[in-house]
Amino acid sequence: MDLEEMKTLWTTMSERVEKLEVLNKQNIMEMTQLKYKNKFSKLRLYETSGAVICYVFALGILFNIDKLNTWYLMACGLFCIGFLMIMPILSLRSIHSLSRINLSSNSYKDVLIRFEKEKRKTLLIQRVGIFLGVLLMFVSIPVADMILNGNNFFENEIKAPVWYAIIFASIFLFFASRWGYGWYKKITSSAENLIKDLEN
Amino acid sequence: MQQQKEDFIQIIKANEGIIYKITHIYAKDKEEQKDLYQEIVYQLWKSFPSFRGKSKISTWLYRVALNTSIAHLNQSKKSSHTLTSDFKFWNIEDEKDTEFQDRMQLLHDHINQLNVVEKGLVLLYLEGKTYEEIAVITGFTTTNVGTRLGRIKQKLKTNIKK
Repeated sequence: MDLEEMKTLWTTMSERVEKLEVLNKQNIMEMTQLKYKNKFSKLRLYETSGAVICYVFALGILFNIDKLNTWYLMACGLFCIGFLMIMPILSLRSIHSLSRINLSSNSYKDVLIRFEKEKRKTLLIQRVGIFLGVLLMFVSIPVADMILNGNNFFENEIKAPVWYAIIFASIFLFFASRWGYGWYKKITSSAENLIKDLEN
Repeated sequence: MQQQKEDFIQIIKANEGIIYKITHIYAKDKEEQKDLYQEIVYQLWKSFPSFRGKSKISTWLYRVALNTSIAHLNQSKKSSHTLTSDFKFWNIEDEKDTEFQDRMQLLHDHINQLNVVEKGLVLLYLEGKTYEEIAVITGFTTTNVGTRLGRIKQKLKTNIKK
C-alpha cells in the first residue's frame, strides 16, 4: 500500500465518518465534567483500599472485644473501632461530594462556591483524620498488646523496644500525614484550576 | 458565556470527524481513542477563547488536536490511565465489510511504523492539505514539509518491501 492508495482509503473513511454523528450538545460539555471527575478517581481508589484495610482491623478488634477486660482498654478498643469505621466513610463521602459537582448545568459562580465549600470540608476531614490518627496510634498500642499478647499495657513496665517502636511510628505517621494531606491539597487545587480554566 | 458555549459546540459538531480521524491515528485501542477524543475536546474548549478567529478554524483545530495527541502519547508512556467516559463511540468499520476492515488495519499498521511527528504530517497529507496548509498547521516551512513527506514516502515504501 503506497501513499496514494492510503489516500484513497482515507477518503473512503472520511466519507463514512462524515455521515456519522458521535457527539451531541450535552456530550461535549460532559467531557469537561468527566475530566473533572477523573481528577478524583485515583484519590477514591486509594481511599477505598484504605477503607477496606481499616474495616479488616476494625472487625479484628470487634471479634476480640471480650479480651479487653478493663474499662479503659474497652474505651481504647471502642475508639479504635469507631475511628476505623467512621473516618473512611467521611473521607469517601467528601471525595464523592467533590466529584459530583455538576460543571455544566450550574453557573460558574455556583460551581466555584460549591467547590470551595466541599474543598474546605474535605480538607477539614483530612486534618481531623490526621489529629485522630495520632491518637489512634497511641490508643491502638494497648489494644493490640492485649489482643495479641494478653498483656495489660498500663500495668506493665514499658520496655525500650516499645519506646523505639512508638518513636519510629510517630516519625512515619508525621511524614505519611504530610504527604497524604499534601496530595489532597494538590488534587483539589488542580480541580479548582480546571474550574477556573473553564471560566477563563 | 452561553453564546461562546453555543459557538464552540457548533464548531465541534461540524468538525468531529477530524477529531475522530486524529484519535484513530494516534490511539492504540478504542479506550485510548475515547480518552484522547475527550482530552482534545477539553483542550479545544480551553484554547477556544484565545482563538478568536486569528486563523482558520480547521488550522486551529488541527494544531490543538495534533499537539494534544503528541502530549497525550508522551503522558501515556509515563503512566497509563483510563477514563471511564460514558459517550458511545462510532464504529465506522462495518462488521460485514471485512475487506474494508482489513485495508484499514493495513493502513493503521503502516502509519504505526511512523514516529509521532510523521504521523501528524501523513494525516494532514491524507486529509488533502497542501504543503502550504500543512506548514501553517505544523509550524514547519513549506520546503521542510515537502522534504519530510518525501522521506515518509520512502520509509513507507521500504516498510512495505520488508
